[in-house]
Amino acid sequence: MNSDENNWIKACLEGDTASFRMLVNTYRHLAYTLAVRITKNTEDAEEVTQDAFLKAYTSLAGFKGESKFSTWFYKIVLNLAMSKVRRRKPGHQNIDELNLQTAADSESKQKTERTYYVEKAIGSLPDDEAAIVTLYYMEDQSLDEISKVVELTVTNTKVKLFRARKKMAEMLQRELKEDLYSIL
Amino acid sequence: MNHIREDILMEFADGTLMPEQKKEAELHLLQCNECREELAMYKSLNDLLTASNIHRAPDEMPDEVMRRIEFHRSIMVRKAKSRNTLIRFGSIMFGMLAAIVSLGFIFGTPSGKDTGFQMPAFMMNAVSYMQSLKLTINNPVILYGVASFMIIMITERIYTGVKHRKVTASTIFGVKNP
Repeated sequence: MNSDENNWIKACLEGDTASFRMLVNTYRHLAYTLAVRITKNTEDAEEVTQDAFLKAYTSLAGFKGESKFSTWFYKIVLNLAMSKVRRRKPGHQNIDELNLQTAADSESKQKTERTYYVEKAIGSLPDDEAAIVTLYYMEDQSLDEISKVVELTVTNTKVKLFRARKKMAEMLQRELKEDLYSIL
Repeated sequence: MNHIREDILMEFADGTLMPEQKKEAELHLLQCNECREELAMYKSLNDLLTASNIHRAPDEMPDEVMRRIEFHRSIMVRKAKSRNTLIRFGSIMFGMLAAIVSLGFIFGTPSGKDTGFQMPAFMMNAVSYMQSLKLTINNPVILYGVASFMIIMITERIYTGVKHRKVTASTIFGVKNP
């Protein structure tokens, strides 16, 4: 855990709520991304992310610093997102119908299209594999840390990551064809 | 020719292969077009996933989260206040009861003839029990005074412990860990 985070957490525990805003600013995009990948719905993802921050705030005293704050926090996000999906009524909005607001919004149409297919491919994965892929490509998340978030062994996490990437590669090959090879 | 396993190719694309495995894979890649294509695909997949990995959370999210936290805090403060009031009220009631019982011990007599206050049965039992133990303190005023003082002290300790959510033997009896 970096020293800034450590100081913010300490300040929060001493009653300085403003320090928690720093943690919110640092993790909101990553938490939201993870929530979008699991719920496949931006509204639900926003609600899950906010709930996760509130839960993190109320349980902060229980964070002992045995893992990174991000690992502890992503676990909260993942649990809330999974339980949101479980409680969902049939006929929810699918990711295909979403107007995806991604980092690529302002970039070229081609890149936006690629992003769309990547999201579609991730959306087709089971929840745990989608979470593993998302976390793997996030900054600073090692396989060891991911395995703690998804509560699997490192070996199982590795196997699921392999399966997920294989499925995605096959799907993207079909959707993007030669485009996939020409990206490099 | 044996091709490179897919998991090895993925690790090669991630740059996480051990140096020996990497060297072996590189030698194979020099002569295998199929594996080179597969590796290029996994590298592209990595690039795609890295580039499109972030969804931007709404800009107003931090304000909304902080508003909810402040709301939660105000509810918790209100709850804590009413809990403390309840504990204080309960402690006062318990203290008063303890005082009444103590006064009964101090001024009451088994018949109630001398003072007009007759001891309840449990008090008489307690007195006979203490007499059976042949306690050296014969003065009931001192004995019951000490008992009532201890009851009040324990009440105060419980109140303090509950207030700080730490009710233990040390908070009740004031024993500190070495």
